[in-house]
Amino acid sequence: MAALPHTVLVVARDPTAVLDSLGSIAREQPVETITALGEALVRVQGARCSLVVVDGEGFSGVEAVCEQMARLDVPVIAIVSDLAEAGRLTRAQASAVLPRGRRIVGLQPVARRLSARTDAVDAKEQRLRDLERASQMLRGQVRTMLDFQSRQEHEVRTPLGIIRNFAHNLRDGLDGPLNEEQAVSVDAIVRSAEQLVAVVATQTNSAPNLPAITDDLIQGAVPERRWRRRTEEDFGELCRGVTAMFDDDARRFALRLTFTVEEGLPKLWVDRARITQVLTNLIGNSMKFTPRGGAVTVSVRAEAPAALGAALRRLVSELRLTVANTGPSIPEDELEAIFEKNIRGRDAESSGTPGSGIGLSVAREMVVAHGGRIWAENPDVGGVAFQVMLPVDLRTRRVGRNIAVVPDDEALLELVGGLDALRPGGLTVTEGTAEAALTGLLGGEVALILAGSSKIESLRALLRARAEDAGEVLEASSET
Amino acid sequence: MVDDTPDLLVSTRKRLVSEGFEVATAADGRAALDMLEAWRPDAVVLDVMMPELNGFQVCRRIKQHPDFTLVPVIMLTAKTSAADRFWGENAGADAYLTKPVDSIELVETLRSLLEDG
Repeated sequence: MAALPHTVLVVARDPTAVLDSLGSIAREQPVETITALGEALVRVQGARCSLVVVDGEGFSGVEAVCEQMARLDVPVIAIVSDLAEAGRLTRAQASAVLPRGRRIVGLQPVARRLSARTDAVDAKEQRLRDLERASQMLRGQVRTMLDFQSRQEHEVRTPLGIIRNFAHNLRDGLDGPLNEEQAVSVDAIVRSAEQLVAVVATQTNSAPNLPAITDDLIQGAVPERRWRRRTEEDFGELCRGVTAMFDDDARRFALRLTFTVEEGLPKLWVDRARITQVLTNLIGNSMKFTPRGGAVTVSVRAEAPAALGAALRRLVSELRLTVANTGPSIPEDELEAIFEKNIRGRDAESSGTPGSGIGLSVAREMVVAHGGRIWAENPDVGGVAFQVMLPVDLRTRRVGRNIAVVPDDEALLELVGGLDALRPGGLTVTEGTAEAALTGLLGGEVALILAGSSKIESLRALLRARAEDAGEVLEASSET
Repeated sequence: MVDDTPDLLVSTRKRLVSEGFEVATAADGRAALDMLEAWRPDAVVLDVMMPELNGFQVCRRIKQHPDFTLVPVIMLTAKTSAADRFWGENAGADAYLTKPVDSIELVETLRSLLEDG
């Protein structure tokens, strides 16, 4: 098989067994072997590895290593003892799992595919770096050009104003009466001066915002910018980090940038890089269009009825990220249009419409890819607020391992035994009182309560009482 | 009227005088502030780009002075961006004209501000 361009790293207590299984690959490739799991990350970051083959026997913490390798885009083949381990490591984002002790047949095609993928990622990253470098240079040049332009402006406008003033004064006799010839000459000067003023005025008002357009074009052209797989994240902290990156800019533009996050929010299953991109676009957009002395606020909270207590917080199904600013409002009929892929027209800047073309449409694509929604609104207090809603993935919700049955007759009681034998969804089924079931639900051990119809009212009453005890207001919905 | 370009002061002053205004001129912000007490102007025309004290700073000081808070201030600038306009309004200016300023437009602006006062 074609040689992989980089080293294969074998991590195992007994590397020889793995090397045997690797067969010809071990002979054709540069292979490094290590016997300590902790060293794996160091080796990978130090030198380029196409592939990591790890035999977890005798190690603990293989899942964590798999996840970190995934973040670095290094494929991992994990050798496992049983299905349970296979499941764990697959969830930890191992690229492939193979059973121990069997000769690894078909490793070559797997390895080849993974290595081709690595090469493709490498090539893409190189292209991205080139693009970013070009973008930097372009921005630098555009800035220089615009600075030059604005200095020229000033040096042109001032003499122009002087010429026009004196010409007007002459024409209107402020310097004394003019003879006929003088009057004709002065009229000519006035006409030319006014023509020149008109030219200068239109030039400036229609200058495009080239740095912003350049940025947007780069982003739009590379939509798969470093697609990483999703990971379980503390969304609040992620947003805090991104917001902090704008502190310097906020100072420079004399804007108040604040960040708030509710406590106790559930984790989200997101692509860090893409979420970072979305928030960067929204904050950058707000900063561009908020006048000096204004404010940009970023907040993250649970999307749930107000005053839900901590016990019920886990039932939160969405998180809301809001980026609001005190800039000009967006006309109602443009609130949707700003998310479309277009370069803003010449008039947009002078009319103060925020939303710079590709940036917001990229943000929308990424939010939708997460199963979320994004929109813009003009809050009553003024300014503009961008709202992003992201669903809390069931995988990260602390769902209980139990179904609690509250029977009010024998039939339901029999159901308990039967259901438990079936182990639906891997959950156990137990029987108990309404009180016990509710305690279990609020405590997180119970995922679902099946109750006989005559028990439902008492369950609702209990729920209401619990909420009131905790000083919360709860709306009971009825679904029998 | 405050501007660091002498020719603008001369040409504009001539127009203003012909329209019945009494005009005092200053070439920089400090001189202007010094003249406030002595001259007690009914209106001030301020260039934004001036050395040392810029127009915004002068405007703010005029507005903060108890005797001159209500004196209308017109700012003149070569920049046209919305941000600069906003910045000017934040400094308390009553009107904002972009250069090259037509003296005739300046006269009209002065008249309307003084009438309102």
